[in-house]
Formats: sequence, structure tokens, C-alpha cells
Amino acid sequence: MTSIPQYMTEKHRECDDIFTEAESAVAAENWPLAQQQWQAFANELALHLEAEESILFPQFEQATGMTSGPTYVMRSEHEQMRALVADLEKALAEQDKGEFLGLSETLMVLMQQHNMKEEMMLYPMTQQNIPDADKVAEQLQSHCQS
Amino acid sequence: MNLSGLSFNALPPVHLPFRFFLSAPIFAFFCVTILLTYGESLWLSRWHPAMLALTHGFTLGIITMVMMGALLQILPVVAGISFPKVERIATISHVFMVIGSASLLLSFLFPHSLIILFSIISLTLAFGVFIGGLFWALAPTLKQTFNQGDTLVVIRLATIALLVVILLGLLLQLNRFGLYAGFSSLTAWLPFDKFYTNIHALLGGFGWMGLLIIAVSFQVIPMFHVAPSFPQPVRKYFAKLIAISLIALLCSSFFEFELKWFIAVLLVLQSFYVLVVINVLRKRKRKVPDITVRYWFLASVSMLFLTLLYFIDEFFSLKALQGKQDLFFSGAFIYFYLLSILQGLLIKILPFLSYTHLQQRCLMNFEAMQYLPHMHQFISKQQANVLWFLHLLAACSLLIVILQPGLYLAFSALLTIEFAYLFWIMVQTVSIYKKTSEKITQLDS
Ligand SMILES: [Fe+2]
Ligand SMILES: [Fe+2]
Repeated sequence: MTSIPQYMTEKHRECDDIFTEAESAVAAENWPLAQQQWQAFANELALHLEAEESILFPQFEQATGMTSGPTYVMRSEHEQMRALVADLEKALAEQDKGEFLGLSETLMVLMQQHNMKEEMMLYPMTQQNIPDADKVAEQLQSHCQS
Repeated sequence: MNLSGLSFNALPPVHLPFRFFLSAPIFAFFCVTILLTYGESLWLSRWHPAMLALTHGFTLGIITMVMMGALLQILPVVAGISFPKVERIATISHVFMVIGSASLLLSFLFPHSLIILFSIISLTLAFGVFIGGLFWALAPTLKQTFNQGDTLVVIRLATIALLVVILLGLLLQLNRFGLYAGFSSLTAWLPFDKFYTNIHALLGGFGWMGLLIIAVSFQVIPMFHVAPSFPQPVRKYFAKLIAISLIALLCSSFFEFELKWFIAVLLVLQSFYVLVVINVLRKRKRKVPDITVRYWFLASVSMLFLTLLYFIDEFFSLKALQGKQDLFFSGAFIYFYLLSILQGLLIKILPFLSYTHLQQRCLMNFEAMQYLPHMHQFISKQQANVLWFLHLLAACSLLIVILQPGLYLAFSALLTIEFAYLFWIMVQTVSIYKKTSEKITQLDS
């Protein structure tokens, strides 16, 4: 049975991997491949963010009683990521390589810092403080695989 | 439950690190002034007072200055901890760092006891406040066992090395002030000669600056380039090996052991580290062209060449290097290794900081997102390429001028151009930051 931090961290790495493939394809101006990889990334990311917002964060909030602190910041950053993803999609549709790479560097920075905060604090704290961590890990898995 | 680690928004105000960064080029221009004033004679010996001033211009005024600013920001990002009373600590240490470094350089050129005393007091204040704050910030982390542990352990070691380097430097400077005159028993105990200067220099290069780079690399290389983590044994033990060698070096006055063996061991360790860096970077997933990667490769390959050349020279005593070994190897270490990595990181950190600060403000006001520039709008790819090229030219010209001092004008010119360009890039980043920040403020009101 994988724990919450293990599973979610793995998911972050998977997202990174597909993301870099999409980015490389754009750098090489292989637009069809870029389009395909980007779709895969955007789906994976959307599922991950949803799983956190609808399953993980409420558990964290309940267990710690903190409803406006860390999870508020995390949710807002998710919104920022979604906004950047929309901008990236526009750049991709217009095949604007320079714009895409500037934006993708930016999303990378935002995503890495966000993930670090989750991996270093939020995930371990959730794992430690909720009564049924195994069940939540399972829920997260089934959500992300849907 | 311990929530103290949850410093999600612990980033210090962006103007604090920028002050340190913007001060660095000013010391580069100070170095150019020294180069032009002393001309060819400067390169005769590493013990030439103007050469000591030049070396400290680079190591203290540029490298340590930038590292101090970077640490203010890096601690919250890589470790979730931050300096206490950051505004006050950063302001005091920055002001005295600028005054202290400038007066130290002047004290080499004009060894008046007042200037020497002035440099001692201001540098004591600068580092006393900074190192004190750093220890204070690091103290609570002794108990934490989050996965950022390896980086923190190495940052601690680097901080201790800095403390020893500064203490040795202050003792040497107090000696120049004449404090120990008349205390023959004291001077017999602590021979304030070239021996301690060498230890001071090696601890500074391999300890403080070398270890801090290692610490930061554990975090930023995987993060920025989607590369695998450094191998576990390297993260756990490598910095300790360097620390042990440095402690042995410190104690070497008590047993007969030649300095060159320590240098050899440190160079081998450092070369091993850069081989790991090369290996990790080659496995990076993110293959889009990235100037920071090129800086890392430049620094790593230079380090390997430097070590190779050091051993070749030990065994075959190269004619071209005769009497110039110290200058040549330390010059290469500073310019090709330390400065390359520092500049590569600056190119990443400047937009990164500016963006992150603006992004944090947009958390409260989503609408403001529309004003956020993307990373390449702060520093364009092309500008980063130009800087890399200028850096490479200046670095090569330094090695040439060490061998052929008559060519000092070339190095002076290239050094000026490189740092003027870096300065311009920084000013541009700050101004984009400010303009965007104003727009967000307007939207808020
Ligand atoms: Fe998240
Ligand atoms: Fe996440």
C-alpha cells in the first residue's frame, strides 16, 4: 500500500515528465507531437489538482482545523496554474514558440515551488494527522486514474 | 502538532536580495580601477597588496555579496525557513558589507591603521549580524527531518566554514593593525604569516563558497532542470568529506604535512563532485536550451581541467606556469568555477524571484495575473546568451593576463563589459518588477 506522500509525489514526477516532453517538442517545432504531449499533460495536471482540491485538502482542513491557511494558498496557486495553462494553450495554438517557452519556464517555476511545499509539508502532515490515510490514498488513486 | 515549519509565505521583501546583487558589479568596477592603476606590476606576485585587494574584490565584494543576498531567498524556497527580523538583518549586514569590503580593499592599497581598523569593525558587524541571523534561522531545523535535510546540513557546514574564514581574516587584519606587537608569546603561538593566509583562502574557496554551491545544487538542479536527485551517498557524505579535509587542513600546523597535498585532495574531491553534476545534468529530462545548464557545464569541465593541469604541473613542472601557479589556479577556480556557477544561478534567480514575489501578490487578487510577465520577459534568452559569451571571454582573458601581464588592458576592458552588461540586466529586471508591482497596486486600490 503506497502512502499519500509517496503516491502524490510520484504523480508530480509523472506530470514533470510529460511536461518536459511537450516542451521539448515545441522547442524542436514538432507541433503535432507537442499538441499530443500537451494534451496528455493538461489532463494529468487537471486530475491531480482536482484530486487535491476535492479529496486531500478537505481531509487536511478537517484534521488540522486550518481552513484558511496552507490550503487557501495551495488552491489559489492551482488557479494560477490553470490560468498559465490556458495562456500556454493559446501560444501552442498560435505556434508561437518564444511565447510558449517563456510561459512554460514560468509554469515550471510555479509548479516546482508549489510541489515542493506540498511534498515537504502538506502531504506528510496529512498522512500523519488523518485517521484513515490508506483509504484516502486509495481514493486519490482512483480519482487520478479515471 | 508542529506547525512552525509551515512558513508558506516566508519570502523576504524582494528589495533585500536585490540590494546585495546590485552591489556586486560595483565591486567589479572597483577591481577594474585597481587593474588600471597598478598595470603590469600587479601580476608579479599573489602577495602584491594590490593583488590581495583584487582577490578580495572578487571573493568578498562580488561572490560573497551575491551569496549572502541569495541565501536570504534560498532558505525559504529550499527549506521553508527564513531569517528572523530579515529586514533589519539584511539591511545592517548589507550596509556594513559594502563599507567593510570597500575599506578592506583600500586598506591593502593604503595600509593606514585607521583604514585597517575601520575595515575590521565594519566587517565584524556585517558578518556578526549575518552569521548570527543564519545560525538563528538554522537552529530550529536541527530537529526537523523533512527531506530537504541534506541541503540544510551542507548549508550549516558552509556557514561554519564562513565563520572560520572570517575569524582568520580578522586575526590577520588585526595583526596588520599591529595589535600583537609586543606580545611575542602570542605571535609565537599563532604565526600570522603566509601559512594562515593560505588556510584562510582555501577555507573560503572550498569551504564557504564551494560547499554553498554544493548545497544549493542538490536542490536547484533537480528542480530547475527536472533532473534526477543527486545520489544518496553523495548527498549524505560528500560535503562531510570536504569538511573533514578542511578541518585536517586547519590542524595541519601541528603536524608536518605539506599544503600541496591538501590542495590535491580538495581538488580531487571537487572534481568528483563536478563529475556527479555532469552525470546528473546529462540525465535531466528538461532538454530545452537553457543557459544555466551551459554555465554548469562550463564550470564543471573547467574544474576537471584545472585539477588535471594541477597534477601535470606537480609532476612535470610546466614552464609556462613557473612561479605563477598560485595565481593561475586560484584565478581559474574563481572565474571559471565559482563565478560561472554564480552567474548561471543569477540568470535563473533574478526572474524567478521577481516572478514569485509578483505571483504571491496575485494570490489575493486573481485579476492581477494578467499583468504578470513571463520568465523570459524579465531576461530574454538572447541577453542570457550574450552574458555567457562575455563571461567566457573575460575568464579566458584573465588566464592570459596572468601568463602575459602586459595584456592587462584586455582583461580590464572585458571585465568592465561583462559586469556592465550584468548590471544592466539586473536594473532591467528590477524596473520590470517595479512597473508590474505598481500596476497590481493600482488594481488593488
Ligand atoms: Fe497542488
Ligand atoms: Fe500536488
